[in-house]
Amino acid sequence: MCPDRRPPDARTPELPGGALHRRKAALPRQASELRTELRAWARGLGLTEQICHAIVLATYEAVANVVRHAYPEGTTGMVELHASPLRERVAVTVRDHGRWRAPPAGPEVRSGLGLPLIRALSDRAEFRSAEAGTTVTLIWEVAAPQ
Amino acid sequence: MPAPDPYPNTPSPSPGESGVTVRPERRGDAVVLRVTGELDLMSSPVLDGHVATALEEPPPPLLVIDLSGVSFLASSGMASLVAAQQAAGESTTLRVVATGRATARALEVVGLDQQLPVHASLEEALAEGR
Repeated sequence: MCPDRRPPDARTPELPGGALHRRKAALPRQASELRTELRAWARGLGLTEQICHAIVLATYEAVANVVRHAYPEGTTGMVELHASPLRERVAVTVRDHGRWRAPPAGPEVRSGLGLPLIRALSDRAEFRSAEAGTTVTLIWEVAAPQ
Repeated sequence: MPAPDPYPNTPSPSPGESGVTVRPERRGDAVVLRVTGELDLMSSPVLDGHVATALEEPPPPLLVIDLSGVSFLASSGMASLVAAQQAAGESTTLRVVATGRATARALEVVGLDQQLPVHASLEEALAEGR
């Protein structure tokens, strides 16, 4: 699906080479919208279908974690997505201003599939929690874009 | 420990809004749920609702969740499959149809292909002994 480039969306930056930056309410619908935008962005980079899918799914899981866990019930915070095509790598950061913590890996498969997906699909995944919120950084090593 | 799901009782959005369509079909005494679209945090409750309906008394001997038309499967959708398997219990055999990167490969990444009976086609899922 990925090599099949689509007409540029008005909100998609000029590609290849541009970064994608979005800030949205941390809600399920907005998470789906971010995924659609990121998919268009990744397709525009001319990456393999495998890497496009890995970027879109791992990033969606990081955003979904924010939606589910970052903010207290009954409140809506923000989620920030930044994706940049660096030299021979794609870096995606997902940031919130809440307090979710990466739960430890355990046998409970029902609740804990997101983090294993993130780890398995990215070349590197870092989770940093601070007072100001949590930042997830995902890296994929890719061939240099033309 | 992860926080409890804040959306346990969110009413299922209509298929058009959620990004997924689930079409139940009777095939002999089996029930097939044909899923089309993207299974994510927003749309997985639609599948949960159809699974609950399909397992209402009397439960069918076989329930097949056909993901052939699914182009994106997130962990929330995978959790729905695991929950369906648990809900099916001993009275109903649950099978999943999945092929390709978005579904079958994604299930393999987290090892769910070892836990769920995944079939390459609906015919295969319906044909195998129960």
